[in-house]
Amino acid sequence: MSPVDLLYTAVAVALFGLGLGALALSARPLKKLLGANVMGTGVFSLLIVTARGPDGATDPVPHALVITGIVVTVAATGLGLALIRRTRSASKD
Amino acid sequence: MTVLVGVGFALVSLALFAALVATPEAPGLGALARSEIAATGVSNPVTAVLLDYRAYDTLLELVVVLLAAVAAGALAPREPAPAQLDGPVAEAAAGLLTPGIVLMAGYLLWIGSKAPGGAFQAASLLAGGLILLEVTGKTPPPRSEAVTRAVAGLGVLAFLGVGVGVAVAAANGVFLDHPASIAGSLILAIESAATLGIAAGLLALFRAGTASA
Amino acid sequence: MPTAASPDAVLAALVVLPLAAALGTLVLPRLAPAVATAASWANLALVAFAFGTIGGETWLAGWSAPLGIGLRLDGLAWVFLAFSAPVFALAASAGRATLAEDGAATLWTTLIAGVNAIFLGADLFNLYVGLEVVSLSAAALTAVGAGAAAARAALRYLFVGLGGSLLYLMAVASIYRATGALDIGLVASMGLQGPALATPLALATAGLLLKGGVAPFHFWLPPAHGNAAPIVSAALSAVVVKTALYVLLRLWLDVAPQTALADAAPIFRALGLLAVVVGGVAALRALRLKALIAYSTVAQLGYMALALGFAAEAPGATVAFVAFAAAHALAKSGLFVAAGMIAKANGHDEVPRLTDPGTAYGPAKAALAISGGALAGLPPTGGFLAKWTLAQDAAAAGAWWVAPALVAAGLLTAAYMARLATAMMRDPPENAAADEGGPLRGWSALALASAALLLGFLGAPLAALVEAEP
Repeated sequence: MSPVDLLYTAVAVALFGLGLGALALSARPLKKLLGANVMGTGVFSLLIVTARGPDGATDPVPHALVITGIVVTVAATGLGLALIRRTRSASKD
Repeated sequence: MTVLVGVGFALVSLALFAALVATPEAPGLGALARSEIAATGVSNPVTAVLLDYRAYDTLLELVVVLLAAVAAGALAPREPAPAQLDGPVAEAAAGLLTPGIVLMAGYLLWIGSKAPGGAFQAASLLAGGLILLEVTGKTPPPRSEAVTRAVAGLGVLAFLGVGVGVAVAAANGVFLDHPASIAGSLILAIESAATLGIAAGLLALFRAGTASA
Repeated sequence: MPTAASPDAVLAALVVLPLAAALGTLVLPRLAPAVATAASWANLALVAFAFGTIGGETWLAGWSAPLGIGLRLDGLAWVFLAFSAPVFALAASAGRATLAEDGAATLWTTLIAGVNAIFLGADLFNLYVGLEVVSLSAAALTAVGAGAAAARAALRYLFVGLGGSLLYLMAVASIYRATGALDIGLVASMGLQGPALATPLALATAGLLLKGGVAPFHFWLPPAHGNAAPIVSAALSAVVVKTALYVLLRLWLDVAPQTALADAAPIFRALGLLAVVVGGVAALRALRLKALIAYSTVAQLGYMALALGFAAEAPGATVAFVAFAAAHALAKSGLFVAAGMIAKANGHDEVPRLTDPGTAYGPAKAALAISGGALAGLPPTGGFLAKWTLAQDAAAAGAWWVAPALVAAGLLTAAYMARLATAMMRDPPENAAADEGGPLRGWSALALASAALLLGFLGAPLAALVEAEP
């Protein structure tokens, strides 16, 4: 692996681990949600690193997978925010 | 306890990194994706993957957007959010930017078959424009929740319609198997519907997630 | 036009039909519960019809691996479809009020679509998207029309689902990086070994056990299944958790070599035992009816993990895994629906204070009894079939402790089901409520429970379907 790829892979794994930690260990729901997003960013970054093919040609499949993943994560985050609002207003009643 | 688990996650990450470094990378599908691209009707390889090779993934992903938009709207407490950006600067900016945003979104959608772009990029930009309008108090269409949900389903509808249509029309039809001659047009049609659908879905998510006063 | 019975048409229809119904619920909001119910029954009919297509596959969009995504219907997939479909159909019929809640009907149909997509899926990334469709639909349904406790449980469930999905996705990314392939068959043929195999397997297993609610990752399950509306709880316990365990089974059976499963077997056996004990004891101590039933799910999932722990040494253990999944799905869904009715009639669901709801609840009480028997593993139910199959295979593999463990677990189950039964025999107070839900709910519950009983006689065909070569 080239040094650049090594660095990117390390960053991807670090984001994944930090995000997982935040998701699992944070007390506040908003922080957990952000942790999930960071975790997702880590996975997507790893996929993008994979997209660098030999001779500089890029593999479009990981790019498509990342786009799909991002959209799914955005949708899940939106649902999460609505649920957080719901728990806050429901506990006020 | 928290520290213990945190250390555990750190170790897992290290193990993952070590495993990745130790494993040689496979060549991947780049060459194959490019060599077969003529049959897809587009020249942007990522669009070919998203709307042809792995179109079924994209269909399910649009389902996720739709269901999240519906669920968020159903679950969020029904408190109207006041306009959050007040003042003449914000309103003028919204007025000036919106036509440009719509044009750019249309361009991104169109160019997606040849260059980086496509439905998702266009939809994100369009949704940004819609949210800008929403936040300055000029509620953009779609306005009612029911209509917003229905528009959010347009992408799924387009995929199902085209997918079943090509299967029924062909001799041994397979779902979503575009005939090479009209594949480009079919993809553009699906992408147009998907752009509207995703933008409406994102708008619905924003409306559901907006904090009240 | 393809023939109506071709795999291309049938397999795609299993996903297209519920999605079309989802769109229908948006366009006809006032008819949404009817659309969702009709779609659930149409799905059941389609699954029955799909029996003739077992062994078929279709390459969606006309591209085969490695570029395209495939759907495959082997015997194993069909059995999972076949026990899920009646749950959706009968629960939908029993829960019109729940389906009338804002968004519920749409989410019910997307849930069915996602579940079918997972059982048919042959592509690792596509399974991730399917798992998200299911997770998000299920988490949202948990909160729909319910109060604060359900909302908190749903939020926790969402976080668990996201974490599990992303762990699984990291595994898929690692596999793609090492093989350049995402199709299960193609990846299996690449012969991954060493850290390139172990790391994705470990990540994916952690994620899927989390989503499947297998102890010690079960903390989220009792609040979520215990606070949701009865038909949602039925779908969650019966089907949703099984999707994650199904993907787990596919990974360990189809992608990993047999030696890997043999190496990991002690872990699965230990987790299974843990789940059985933790779930059983908690169910015994549960004060609320739905919490009791939810902890029972935790215990029953342990049986599945235990079966997976023997799958490397005995192919019959896979049959046991499937039998546990099917018997539990049918029995548990019937139990949740019946319990919902009984709780409503009593006006509360505290187990020590429950009383006989009256003669109008005959089918519901019968469903309770039969489900209890199936969960405890009494012959001739499906639960007994599953335990008997596992005990035989484990003994053949030399694990003498399994049979007595299963018997002990069965006694534990019988104990907490007996708590319920004795409550049912107490006379009601003077102002007992009449059955407001109509007869349909009771008969739906009884139908599901009876199916769990019927499964006990289907051991041979079940084994033939599961063990058949694809």
